[in-house]
Amino acid sequence: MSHRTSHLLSLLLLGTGAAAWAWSAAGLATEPALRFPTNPLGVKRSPYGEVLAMAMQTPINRYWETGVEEHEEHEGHHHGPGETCTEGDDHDHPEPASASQGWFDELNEAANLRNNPKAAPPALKFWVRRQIEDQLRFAYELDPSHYGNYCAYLFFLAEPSLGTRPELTPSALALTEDTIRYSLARNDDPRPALTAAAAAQNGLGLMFSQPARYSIPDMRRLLDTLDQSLARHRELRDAWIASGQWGTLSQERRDEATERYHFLEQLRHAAAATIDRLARERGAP
Amino acid sequence: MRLFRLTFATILRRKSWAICALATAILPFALPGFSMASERPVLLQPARIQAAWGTVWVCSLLWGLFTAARQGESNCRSGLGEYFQTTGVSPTRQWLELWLASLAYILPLVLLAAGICLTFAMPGDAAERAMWWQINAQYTVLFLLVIASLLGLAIAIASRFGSAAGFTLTLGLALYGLYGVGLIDNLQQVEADPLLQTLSRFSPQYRWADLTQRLYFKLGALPAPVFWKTTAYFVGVLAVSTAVSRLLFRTKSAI
Repeated sequence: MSHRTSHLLSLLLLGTGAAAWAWSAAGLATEPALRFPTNPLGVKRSPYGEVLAMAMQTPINRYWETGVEEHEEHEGHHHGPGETCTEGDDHDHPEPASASQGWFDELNEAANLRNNPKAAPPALKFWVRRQIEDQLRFAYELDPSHYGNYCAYLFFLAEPSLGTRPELTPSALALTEDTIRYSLARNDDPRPALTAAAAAQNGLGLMFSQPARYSIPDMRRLLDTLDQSLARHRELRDAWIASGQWGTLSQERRDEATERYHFLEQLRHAAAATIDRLARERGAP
Repeated sequence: MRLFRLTFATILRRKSWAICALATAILPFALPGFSMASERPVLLQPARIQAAWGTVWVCSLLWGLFTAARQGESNCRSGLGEYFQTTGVSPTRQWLELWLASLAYILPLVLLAAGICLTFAMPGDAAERAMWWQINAQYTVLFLLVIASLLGLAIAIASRFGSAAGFTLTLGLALYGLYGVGLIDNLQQVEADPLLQTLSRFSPQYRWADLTQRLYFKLGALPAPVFWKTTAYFVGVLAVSTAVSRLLFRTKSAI
């Protein structure tokens, strides 16, 4: 093949290829059949994502603690890694499992210890909080029906002094709605229904924090969703007990689900009473 | 096809292909045990599908691109390329034979993953079964088009700039096309930017060939017009990458 033919062939390939590329890309960019959120190896919302979401529980506790401590330092309450907790601390430092684990923990803490005597600038504090929020969101996206990850993420979003977004309530409410939709679509496990119930309860809590913005029928609709979620949990749990699948879960998991169910039931009664009180105050039905 | 046979035999003798073959054959059955499928058997088949195609993606992007880059570099560094050129094998033909030899190792992995989905994760419903054949065939075609263009580029870049560049640049391009373009789309949703829009339009959207989530969520096969358009798109990308590869590929080391 002469040089001239070779160059012509390259040009032909480039020209026809670019034409086919450009012609088909225009239509495909808006094609709904090809639109998926970015999800490396499809891990989010998959059976593997659910396991990773469970495994993220420990890091989440750490992110959470870092975020809260960072916040408390800002508020004038802080203790370093070597100091003892004062009365009123609601987080505990577990004893290391072994000497090597203790040494490992110490190195880990030393790597993240801030020893600059000057206070951290607001931009750094904001960045740390945003990082924590992103990690919590990632854990939530792995399995939106995971009770612990959802609660941690929502709490971070809904707490004005921790969250990094300008308007918190709408994004937190959107999170509760997404969680309810996703968790109630899951018919293969009784536990996501509890996450849906928790999300409905959180949604009500957000509405109660700004009652003037929401109507009584809106609140009652969310209360109905909470009732449906608890009913769905009971129905699926009974089916699992009947098929023997409930018994395959560990005792800790079963106790955890039962405890969450009773806790949500109590919160449901409190929420119903609050709606009744607000309705009376407004003179609504 | 002497260079094809030589390259094929070289890769075969290195035996690292066996790791990928074993991983593709075993992981779809072993990994679901580490997923929630161990608690909820209903998730066993989705977990198997995901493990099968996920393994093929990882093997093709890591082992496949690395092997192609290594062959591209060794062809020109060892003097083989120069030798074959003196015997009348043109650079384009050499590139083509190296490319075919690399692709010959990826093809069985893809067929194995599709075979596992069709044999061990076939839906029970008759209507879904027909769809299952179709979507697995679509996935196989699109996957091969994507990986073919990347393998060709890896060989050509490695022959000019070394295997490290050949591997990392094509892996970076693949990850960008699979996940990076999605992030650009997200940015655009926050604030439309003409520069980002142009960048996205001229980026290879390899993510359109990743049908794992369609399989996993049983969304059904791609409608025929969309599939043919997507195929035309990746044929276009393949043609452009072939032209670039022809221009980059060299048979002699500059050093």
